[in-house]
Amino acid sequence: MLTFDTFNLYLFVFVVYISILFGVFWIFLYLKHRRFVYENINGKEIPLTMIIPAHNEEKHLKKCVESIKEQNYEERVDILIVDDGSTDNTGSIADELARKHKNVRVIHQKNMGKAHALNRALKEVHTSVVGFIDADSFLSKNVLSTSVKYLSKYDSVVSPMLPTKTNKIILRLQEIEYMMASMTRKISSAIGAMFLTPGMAIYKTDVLRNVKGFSTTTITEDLEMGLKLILNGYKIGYISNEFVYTECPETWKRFLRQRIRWTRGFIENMIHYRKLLFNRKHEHLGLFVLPMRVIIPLSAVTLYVLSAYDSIISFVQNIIDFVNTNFDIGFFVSTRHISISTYSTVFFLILTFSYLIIIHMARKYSRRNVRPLDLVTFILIYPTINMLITIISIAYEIVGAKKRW
Amino acid sequence: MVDKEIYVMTFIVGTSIFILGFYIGGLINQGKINAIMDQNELLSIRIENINLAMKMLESMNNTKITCDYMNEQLKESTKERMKIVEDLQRTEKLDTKKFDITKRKYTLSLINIWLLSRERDRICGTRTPIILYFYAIGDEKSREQGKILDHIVYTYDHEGKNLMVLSIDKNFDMPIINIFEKDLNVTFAPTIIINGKKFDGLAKEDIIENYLCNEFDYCLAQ
Repeated sequence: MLTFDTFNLYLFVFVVYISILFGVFWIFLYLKHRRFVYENINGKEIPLTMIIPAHNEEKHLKKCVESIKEQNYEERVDILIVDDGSTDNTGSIADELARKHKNVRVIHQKNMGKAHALNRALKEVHTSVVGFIDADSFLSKNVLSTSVKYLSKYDSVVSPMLPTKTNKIILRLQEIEYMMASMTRKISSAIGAMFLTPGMAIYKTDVLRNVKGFSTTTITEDLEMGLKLILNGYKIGYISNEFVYTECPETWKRFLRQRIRWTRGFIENMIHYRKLLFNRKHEHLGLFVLPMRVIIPLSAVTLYVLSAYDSIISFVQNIIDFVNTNFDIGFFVSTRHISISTYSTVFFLILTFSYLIIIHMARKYSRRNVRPLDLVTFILIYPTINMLITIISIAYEIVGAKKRW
Repeated sequence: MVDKEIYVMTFIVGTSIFILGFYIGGLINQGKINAIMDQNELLSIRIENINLAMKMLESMNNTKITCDYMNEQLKESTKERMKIVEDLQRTEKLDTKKFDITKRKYTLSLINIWLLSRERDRICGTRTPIILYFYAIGDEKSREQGKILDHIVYTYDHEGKNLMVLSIDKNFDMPIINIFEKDLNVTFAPTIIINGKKFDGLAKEDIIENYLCNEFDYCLAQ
């Protein structure tokens, strides 16, 4: 008979096994495509329009525009700022920038959300290439010239991202995560499995128009756009050696809010684009990468919830025992044993080792160092935080909680 | 066309690492079980020793020496037994065969200790309370009963009194347990038997302590 404990054990074994497989998969992919990871593509520079949707971005907008102006890019770059109903000085700063620079234009609209702002701006684009950048991000010097060259191979090109600031532990943990994401996305692009367009992305304008622009109903328009492009047979590339720097949440509250939005967006889009899952036509993405991205968190979350249930039962049992033993604290303390499972320890070490290899590859790719203490904190607490975020997001989705930006 | 080579390699290497993990985990666990088996073996030797010494001392007709020796040795065997129980509880039961053998040996030692204690009472003319506790794995009431008994032992121990509790898995498939159950008419878990007196179901701490005090004059100071 399948008992609760046996089911937990089987689930644990399953989660460990597929996590090892996924880890090994990335390591092999990296080894196989390591030349591709640092590739340089030759292509021509062409005029492009950079669209900056901005809602209450008075602190960052100027820096973002300046980073575009300072690009090592010989062709014309038009900048189109969409002031999406800002209530701070974003609108006037944008107007000021437009007065100062000939190639900067501004659209003011009432607050309708990012996707609306992007679609509105897309109508005003007259170049064959269009790019989008969040107002709280800025570019390293050669991002645009590098990205545009990739359009000779791809229909859309995304840039690796890193946090602007790293002065707090929460920022450094996100830095490690961004480094890992950048590296795995780069390898994903080698096998056609890059499926989202976050941060700064450029597109062939007609491709964007063919897919009818950004969805205004999703809370993660960059993921939706990526999946839509893939489904329509377009290819997404990922550049090497250049980075986009972005502002990351500096408080846990903001971090949680952002991650819950991302996770809910992922769930929403996976349901919407479920036909991509296990779809042979989409090769690595459909057969392995996307299914794993769904199966691993789902099974890990189930395991986590069951373990939490087990802990609650254990807590209740402790209270019963405490009452039954006449509230004898001395006995209670002396009979507490920390019992560490041998198999859990061995598999934790194996997974940590594969994690460390991937972080090492990511560190090399991003050319950044990681402090040992941050690394330990990342390995020990980040998976748990992500698990909690996934649980909260699933719960929100089940109860149909309102989606917030 | 999907590049199958990467998946084949991933499967082979991933599965090998997974199996290696199990193998290493198994080796470590085996080490733990071996250590428990060794302790079990030492306990068996001690019991055999007590048995032999008892027969020798009995033939010498010196009751005091025999009783002192047996009291001391039974006290020591209780300590060793408790250590084995703790280690058994902490060991993962994935290597079921070895675990099963260890548990069988332990159960035999337990019953031997019970017999020796009775023998000690006969020789020394004492009436020491021995608690036989029949439990079932996964049964909440059995778990609660186990904790209550642990606490009683802990409380007596704090007052320098030795109380022996022998825990027997009611559903463990062993002929000697079946004989025990039939003989003592144990039908469900938890059941406690203190020198013939049976307590069916969960017995609270005060009930057990009162019985020990009234029947055996084995009372707690408070």
